[in-house]
Amino acid sequence: MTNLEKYDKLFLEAFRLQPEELPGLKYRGIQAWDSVGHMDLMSAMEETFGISISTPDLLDFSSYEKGKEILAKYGVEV
Amino acid sequence: MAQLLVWTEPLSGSNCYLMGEEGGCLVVDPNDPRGPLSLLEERGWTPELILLTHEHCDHMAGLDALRARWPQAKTIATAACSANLGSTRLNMSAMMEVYLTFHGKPGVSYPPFACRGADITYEQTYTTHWRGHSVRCVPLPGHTPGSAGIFLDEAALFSGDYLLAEETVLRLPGGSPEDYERVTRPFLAALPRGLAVWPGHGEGYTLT
Repeated sequence: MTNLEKYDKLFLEAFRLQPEELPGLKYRGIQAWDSVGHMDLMSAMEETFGISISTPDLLDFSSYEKGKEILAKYGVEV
Repeated sequence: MAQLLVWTEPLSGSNCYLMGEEGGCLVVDPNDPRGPLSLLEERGWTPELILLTHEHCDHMAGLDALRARWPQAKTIATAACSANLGSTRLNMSAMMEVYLTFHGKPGVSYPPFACRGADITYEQTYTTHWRGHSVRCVPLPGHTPGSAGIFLDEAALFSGDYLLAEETVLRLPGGSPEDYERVTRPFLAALPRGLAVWPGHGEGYTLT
């Protein structure tokens, strides 16, 4: 599984979305991506990619696209 | 005569319950490394049993401090809770700074931490006695895999993160709406009127 596939799977499973709903997806853009959903997603992100994301980056992870930029800082190219 | 004290941790608002009797103490959810320990020292109480309602850090951040000070105290938790104490993901300490920021407390340093497991674990209902009081621990998964309800003399329930004023959170890591619906919701719905509830957050109350 590629990093992109892993990345997408995390969103799809956490928020029960279809793949076509991922582009443009933003924090609080859907009901499931609220503060609780965010913590669950971020925990899964760290575990899946074996990284520890700093608190400022966890809070800056505000969209599907922004998340890719943040993961790149940790050496994870999506 | 037993006396019940409550220490509320200021960051998360979680409750630690300290029940003292003749110098001994039963502790539920040691939520902070300093507050409960100070209360115990002031009262001259020695913790004998430490019970955990679940594995989240805001309910056990003081566990290791109590163990260090009173190594003879026995910690009791569900097997899942015991296992998850060692995971910064499942004990939520890795996300605590984010949680606090979302709850209006940005900039607080809360380094992730892990604890070793409990001394006594259970997967089915576990009953013990402490100074003549019955203590019945019932696994109640949903909020976390390791959640439990702890009954004292069948008259009071330490409910952890169930029966709060707010809706039960089932979406944090390890949470399971399916387990909650299958096991825990029916159990909580069948609790008797008149039961005293001591929740993990907020004031105690009586079921009506």
